[in-house]
Amino acid sequence: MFDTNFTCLDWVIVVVYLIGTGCLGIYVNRHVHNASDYLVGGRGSGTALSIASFIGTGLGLVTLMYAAMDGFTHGFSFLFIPVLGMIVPMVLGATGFVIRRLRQMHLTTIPEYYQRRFNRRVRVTAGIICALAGILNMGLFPKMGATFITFVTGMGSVGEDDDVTVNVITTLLILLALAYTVVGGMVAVIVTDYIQLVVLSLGLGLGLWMCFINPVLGWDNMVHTFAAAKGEAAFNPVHPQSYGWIFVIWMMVQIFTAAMCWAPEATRALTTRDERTTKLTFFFGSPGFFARMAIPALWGIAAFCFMQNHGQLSEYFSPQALQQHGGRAAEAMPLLMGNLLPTGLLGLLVAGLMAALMSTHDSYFLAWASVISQDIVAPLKGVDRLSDRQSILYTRVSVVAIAVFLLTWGIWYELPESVWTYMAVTGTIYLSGSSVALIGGMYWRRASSTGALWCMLGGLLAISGLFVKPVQSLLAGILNEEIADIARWFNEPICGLGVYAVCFCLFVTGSLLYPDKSETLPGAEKSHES
Amino acid sequence: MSPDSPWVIFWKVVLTVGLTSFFLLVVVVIPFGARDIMRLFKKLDAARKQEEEPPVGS
Repeated sequence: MFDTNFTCLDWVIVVVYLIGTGCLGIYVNRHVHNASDYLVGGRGSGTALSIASFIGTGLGLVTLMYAAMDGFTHGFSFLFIPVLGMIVPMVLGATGFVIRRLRQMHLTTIPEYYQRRFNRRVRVTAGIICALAGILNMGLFPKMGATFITFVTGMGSVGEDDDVTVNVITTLLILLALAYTVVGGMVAVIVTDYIQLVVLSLGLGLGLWMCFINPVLGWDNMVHTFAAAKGEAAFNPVHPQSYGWIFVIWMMVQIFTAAMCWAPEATRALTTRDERTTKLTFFFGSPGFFARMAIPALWGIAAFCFMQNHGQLSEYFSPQALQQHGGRAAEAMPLLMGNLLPTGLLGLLVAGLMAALMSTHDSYFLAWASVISQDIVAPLKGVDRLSDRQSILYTRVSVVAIAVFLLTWGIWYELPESVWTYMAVTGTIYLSGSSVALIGGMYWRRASSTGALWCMLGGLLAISGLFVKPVQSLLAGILNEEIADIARWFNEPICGLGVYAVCFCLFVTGSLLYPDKSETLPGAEKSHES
Repeated sequence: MSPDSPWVIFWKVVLTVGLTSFFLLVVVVIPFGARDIMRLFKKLDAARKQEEEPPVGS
């Protein structure tokens, strides 16, 4: 077993905290009276609460885990992603590009836009692809959370099979998140996001401070350790042995499109009081998008430094061991936190992170379930909007169905070497087609329904990115070295960027070849006026 | 790679600016966010009362 500072006192803090937030969810539910309250919080968030919720949604345990994983394996180079994460919402907030018009249209979900601008078929297609990509994307969330809890509490062990522990905790986490989401809805999500921001900003700051004051760690030691182990590749993201140019460009595109179209974040543009609040939320919330990934990445970097100076652990986390068990990198940061933070403070951090996990889950559950009920069920039933009762019922049934999928996926699927890349690939399935159709629909008058439909379907090509690694291994065993080398060239970033290019071509070609019959296109402004 | 190499200095500056802005933002958002929550509850309850009241003249 790995020893950590986690004791009974910490368990008490965690249980009290979780019961407290659960009760709060039930209390908050008293204020939910209709579907609008349940799905978009009655569109009543002020600027400060919107910013808190905007940051809180992304400030989850899963974000901390994948950022720490990549910090552990890639060092300081990973920080280019938090930098992009800060610049993009800042630019969107300053210009109002896309987000202002989305808010003007009084939408409940992003795919609803596609029906207003194009037609019902495009909306249903967008809804199906959005839900598919989103649910696959969150497929690893419970397992990541369970891995954190297993290792931070000292339940994990070197060389022993921790699968049973991780799977039991995965199941418990899903059940807890499920109960909370079904009871609360968006108002509960907004309130818990706020509490999460308060507790976690304190936890993140203290965790970082403990890393910097620790004699084994500290800024200089972290720099020296990574420099000795990986050289310039640990600091320069475009270095060939680090991420490389193609990956960096793919991330630029991906983060830009995610800020506009990715339901859990983009929904925040729909829940604000007015368009000005939407712009302010994106602009002032941008440092949160930096910190939510930069701080855990620094924890990951500190974990690397810590493991290098620890006899037993340095072997367990050696490059050779990580090559065979890629998912092992996920265990490093929780182990570091379990050793670094004192009892009591550790309990508070774990409690905050578990509440964050709940909040991320309910936010995602609600986002994808809303898409299923509003953008797939409602159009297929032939109605523009479901009644309040039907809307809440279908959303809740969808939440339960998603939870069942997560349980199966989380238990059977093994953690990959980089969870961030897995999430980027699954995100591309939806973002590639939907972003092209969204931007094209808003700013290009000749955009047509056929073009939108084609590019949405083109996004499905990104599924191939999930099979790149297994196919490469298979080909390496069958083909000669030269051909296998060519096959290796086709990796996730090439696949991701290629799919964006294909979607763009399909959109332009489809729109030019099959223009819509209507002369006056139903653009954002027209829909708003109507 | 020494502590005063360009990449190390670059990341040091980026982290200082980014994290300072974040913690300043948190200090501002916490009190005003609490005020917004109260306003949100009031708004939701007021909307409910309005829905429950019968329309004038019916």
